[in-house]
Amino acid sequence: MSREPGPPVGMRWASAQSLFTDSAAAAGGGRRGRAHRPRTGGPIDLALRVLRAHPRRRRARDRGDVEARALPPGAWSAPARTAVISGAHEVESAPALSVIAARLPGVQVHPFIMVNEMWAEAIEDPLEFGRLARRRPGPS
Amino acid sequence: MVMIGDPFTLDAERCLSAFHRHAPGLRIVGGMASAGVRPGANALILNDWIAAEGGVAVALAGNLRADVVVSQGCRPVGPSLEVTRSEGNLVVELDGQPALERAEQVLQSLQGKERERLKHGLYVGRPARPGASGQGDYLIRNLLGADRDRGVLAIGDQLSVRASGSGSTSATPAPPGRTSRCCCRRSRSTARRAACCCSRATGAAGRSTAPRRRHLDRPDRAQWADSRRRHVVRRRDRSARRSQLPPRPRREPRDRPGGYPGDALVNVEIVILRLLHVVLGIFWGGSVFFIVSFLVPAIRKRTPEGLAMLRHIARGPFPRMIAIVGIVTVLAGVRLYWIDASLYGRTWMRSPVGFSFGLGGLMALIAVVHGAIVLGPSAIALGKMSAQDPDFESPEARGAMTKWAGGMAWGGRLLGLAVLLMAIARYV
Repeated sequence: MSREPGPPVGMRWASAQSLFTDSAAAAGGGRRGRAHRPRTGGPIDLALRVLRAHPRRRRARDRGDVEARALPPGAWSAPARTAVISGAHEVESAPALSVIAARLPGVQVHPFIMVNEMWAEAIEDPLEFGRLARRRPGPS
Repeated sequence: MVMIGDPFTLDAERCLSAFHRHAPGLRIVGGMASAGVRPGANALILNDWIAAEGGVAVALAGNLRADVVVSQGCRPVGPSLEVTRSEGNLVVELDGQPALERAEQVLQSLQGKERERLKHGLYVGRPARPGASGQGDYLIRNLLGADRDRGVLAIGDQLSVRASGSGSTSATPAPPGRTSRCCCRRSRSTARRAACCCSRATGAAGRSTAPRRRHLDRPDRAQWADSRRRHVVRRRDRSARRSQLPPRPRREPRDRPGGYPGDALVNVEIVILRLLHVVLGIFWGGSVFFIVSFLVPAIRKRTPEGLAMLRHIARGPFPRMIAIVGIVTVLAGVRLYWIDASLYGRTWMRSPVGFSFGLGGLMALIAVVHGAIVLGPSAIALGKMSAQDPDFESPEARGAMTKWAGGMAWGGRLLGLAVLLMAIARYV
């Protein structure tokens, strides 16, 4: 993604990778992990993370507990099975975390969740689509 | 918009159709989570919301322009091939030969590393620009299947006839490069080998290609088209029936960590298995440690206390009890290993963690088999002898005692190594 040509708006993207086997440390929950946080030079509006967890911590619940504690606000995360790629490295078959973070002044960041059952109706119904595309976690 | 979905529960085609219809022009990038090999094994996270199903997305609007780049993570193998005839998504001829025959020639001529790479799955690279030759010049398409009778290959893309007179073809949006290329996945562990078929171990692509491949295996294309028509009619009937039914209650996303029914059941099973494995393992290992470290030396020195303890152990229920405890411990461990292996596949089994658990489990298994076959009968025989010869003075009793003590020492070593490997496995 790139910035619209024109006056500088202060948008900044940064990426980071961690090879810590402990997800909490990798995500920045620990002292060592903070060194691996992407440096956006300001508050982070968006963080996209891909994680290959330690094999013993790959159960959804274990991983979720660790992740939820360690995530900064505005973050979004997905797990990978085999490899994690960052700007300079590809890590295969080992625990790794790759993060792309951004400071996005002038950009509206709108995260939402997707629940499968409802999208069939959304194809035909624009109102339903509008509702789903604004869906946040919690009761609808 | 950037989206990631769970391949087992999110119908990406439906979602994309909805966006395509109601938000035309919106650029969508993303993919499917690939960590879990069964439903409920992925974790998708949005802030503090965690789900094992559905998907997460983030829409960006405002002062932003998005350039989308797609990469399949493939490497080219073999030479470039020219598509000389095609029908729809079927490649009929490559380099003037039947497509399947030519592809097989190329694949069979591969050597060493290139042949090895085929294990990671096979794809087709379509030229993205004239003179395509290296990485970045090809768009990767799924190889859906092959029809050996007709010698054609089916790929996940429509090829249009560019010049009907010459019969040469070019991929629809591509310039007239007219070459294609076999490509394989870069990742080592997730793809399966299938002759001339792409194969993704997980994810929506695997689900979507399988039915098509079945159809394409039919030799008669008319039959295939007929079956397809019947399938469409069946779907239409099904949706008509569904529309007459009362609407299904909507399922709300589960927003608590660990709130997924499948996970809860697995968690209960794992807790029970671990309890059995650890508690009984402590009893088993502790008993063997006591016998090997204290009782066996006392027996070898023939101290009265040692012999009395041996009599007590050999006559009582201890030999049977320790055998049952060992078997249950090992079975619980095997089941725990099986759960991990089925969740995370060969990657986990080959990882240091999985390897350590596997090796430790194998040693424990040998120890329990050794105990059941050698030590148990020896101990029972000693118990019977001790009724007639309480001090184990006869040569037979001495021999049986020596055999049992030696067997215990070997069993203890195996069990000790198993315990050591189990203890350090998750930290290696």
